[in-house]
Amino acid sequence: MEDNSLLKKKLETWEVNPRIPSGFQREVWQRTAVKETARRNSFKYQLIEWTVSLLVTPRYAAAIILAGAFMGIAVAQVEATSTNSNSSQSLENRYVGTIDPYQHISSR
Amino acid sequence: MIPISTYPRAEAPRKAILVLFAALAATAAAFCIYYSIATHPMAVMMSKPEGEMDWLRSEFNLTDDQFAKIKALQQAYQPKCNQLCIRILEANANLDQLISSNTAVTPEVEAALKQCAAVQEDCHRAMLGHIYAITAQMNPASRDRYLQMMRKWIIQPRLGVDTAISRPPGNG
Repeated sequence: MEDNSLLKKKLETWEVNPRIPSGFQREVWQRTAVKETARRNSFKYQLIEWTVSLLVTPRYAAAIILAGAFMGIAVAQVEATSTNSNSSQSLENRYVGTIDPYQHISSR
Repeated sequence: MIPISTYPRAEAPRKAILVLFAALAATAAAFCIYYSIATHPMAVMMSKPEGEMDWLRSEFNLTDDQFAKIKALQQAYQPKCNQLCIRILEANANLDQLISSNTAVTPEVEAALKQCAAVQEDCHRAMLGHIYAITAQMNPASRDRYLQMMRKWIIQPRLGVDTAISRPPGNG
């Protein structure tokens, strides 16, 4: 109990007098500015900045969307050729099944 | 290098992401539309009960007249084909039964084998006759392609057409 009242008294009389070094704020801002400059000069940041600037330019945005559409068509062409080839083979087998009795029996 | 855009800093990335999404959507839409258009005719043929005849028509560029004649030939051939199917099943069942009930090649087994071979010969003869009847209705280019396609189903289907290459006499 006595220890607690002593601690309480000490806490009541405790004063904090922080001494901020002169130019502290300036130094903080300077350090932040240096880091920000380094970040902005990094390759990654430049690349992102360049990409974003490219994407928001209307003619490039239109070109990218158009390129996407062409890519979709190209992939679809490849896939459709493969699907049609499989379907054609399957229809050929079906046709042969209508004229070849052995095929006809095995396809039942 | 493209000059950095004059867009406000917070607005630019949002717009860029929107453009990327629009490009992705355009890719997906182009894929779906083109794929469905390109595969539609085949998908229709596959889903129809007599789609194989439509396939024959489109594959060999048959005219309406040629197609009508080939369809008539096909209908006339069907009963014969069904009859041959029954004969194959009967001959196979007979051979199967004799194989089970014998331990050596008896005269009955030999007769059953001959019966199977005879049915197979009849099938090939009927099929080849039908193939020639069909080619007679086709244009020369389609006829050659059709014969080339059907050849592999006539000449020992399991071996493939390349095994039937004629050799000059005396070369074994």
